Amino acid sequence: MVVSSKVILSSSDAQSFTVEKKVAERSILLKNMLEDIGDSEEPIPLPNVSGKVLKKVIEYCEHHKDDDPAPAEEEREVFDNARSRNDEISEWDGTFITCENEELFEIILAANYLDIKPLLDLGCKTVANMIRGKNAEQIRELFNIENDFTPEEEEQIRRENEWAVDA
Amino acid sequence: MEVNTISDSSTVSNKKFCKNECSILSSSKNLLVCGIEMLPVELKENIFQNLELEDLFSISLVNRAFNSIIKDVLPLFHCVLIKRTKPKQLLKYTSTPIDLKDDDDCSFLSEQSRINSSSDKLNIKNRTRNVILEYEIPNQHVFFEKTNVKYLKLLYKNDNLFKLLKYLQKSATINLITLEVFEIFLNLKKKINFLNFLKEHQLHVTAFIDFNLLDGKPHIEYMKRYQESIKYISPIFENLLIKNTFKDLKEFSLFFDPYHFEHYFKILIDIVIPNLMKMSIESISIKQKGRPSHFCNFKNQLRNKINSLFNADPNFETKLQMLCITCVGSGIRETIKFRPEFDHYTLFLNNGVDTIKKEKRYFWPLYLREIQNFE
Repeated sequence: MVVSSKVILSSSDAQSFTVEKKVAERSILLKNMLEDIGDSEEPIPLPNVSGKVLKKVIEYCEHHKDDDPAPAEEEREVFDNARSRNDEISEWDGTFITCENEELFEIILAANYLDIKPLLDLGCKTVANMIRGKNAEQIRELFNIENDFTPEEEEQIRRENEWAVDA
Repeated sequence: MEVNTISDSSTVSNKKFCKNECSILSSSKNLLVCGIEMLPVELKENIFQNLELEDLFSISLVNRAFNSIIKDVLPLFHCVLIKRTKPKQLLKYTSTPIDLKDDDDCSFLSEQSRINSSSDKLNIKNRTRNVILEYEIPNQHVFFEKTNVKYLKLLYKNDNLFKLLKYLQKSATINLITLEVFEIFLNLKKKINFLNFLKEHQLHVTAFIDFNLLDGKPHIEYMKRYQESIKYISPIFENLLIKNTFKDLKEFSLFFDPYHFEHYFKILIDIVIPNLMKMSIESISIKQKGRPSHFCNFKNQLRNKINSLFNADPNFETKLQMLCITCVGSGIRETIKFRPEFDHYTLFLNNGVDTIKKEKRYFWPLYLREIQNFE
């Protein structure tokens, strides 16, 4: 729905969010949809995104609404290459993405679905930072994962990886 | 941002969303169990490309599911493995004894190579030379820089380079190798047919003639190395042509720098292109870095040569359908389209944009590429 540059987004749990078109267009998916449908009174359904997550995503998009526009598809590769070399996370982004694991992964999936590349990268970098430097047991604790390897299997994998140790 | 609750979900009625809805609903179970193991492969890749090799190994040890994740992203894993792995680690991985010594000889190079490199033998032994291996993975380009050619040689020496290539075969296309490595592959002393190996394992290779490690600056050392390189280039071309290396190729492309264009022009115009025109090659692409005047010179000589081929033999036949030459930087491109059925070719001139920017990120003097079809 577009009313004086406003768009209504509808989450999977039937919450609606009225946001500026400019904010919504941080999502390539929504941008394309809005271009396709033109002015419409209909709310845009996002049944793959819960209200809680959509609220977070909108918060991100509002904060970044004045950033450079998302690159066109053909420019994406160059853009991605340039960005992938930059591991820094801004202070605001760092605070924003600090949340429970479950919510973090939901944000990643939502960013992937809505095609908001900077948010997707932020989420992925955050998960990577959580994993970095941890051993297998620490990663298990982090994600509450049960070890289902037999001792023999675990030993086998360790042997396969041995070449990289102490080089 | 205003938040409301929509009580009637039937307001979601716009048919334009139906297609999206279907795909969304089909994947909505992802929201029920939300963890790293539930992410699509491309998102896992996105996460893992931020990690070090050791982290990936840790992940592989977490549990079976995580071990599978690593296998899911194996192509990326290969890239990270090579990119982040120190030569000693890689040697260890390939079970090669670490016998890297300063006085390690170059006996596995061909006689010619040793003669040519004898003057800077010390350099070859002690200097770390840059090799760029570019591995292409769908939607990804990962560059491996500053790899020590010496350890590649050692891998080769112990027949482990082939192991490495086998290891990479599922995931990677090897695009750039140095003259030294290429020369090693062509070394008949070892009785190894590298091109057959590539064909067998469906690897595509780009032979890269690397005699310039000097940032493209034409100074004395560059000139000296250039003179040496000429000794390499012509025999390599001739060797490849004699051996029918290009026999089954459909496409051939070449990138070169014309600082010393006349030599290259001569090789290309007199040897390479006429021979390729008699083979199965259907498309030739030549991209040249340099001034438009060089390009015009090359273009004219090439046109005259092609004319002479047709004029000398009215029955001259070629499977070549297109020959495209591009002057990188100036954006000048000329396409010669062959119409064998009419016994003539037509010339199309256009001044397009520089289309090679994304392909070439480095300055290389000569770049020989065999693109495809090792059938």
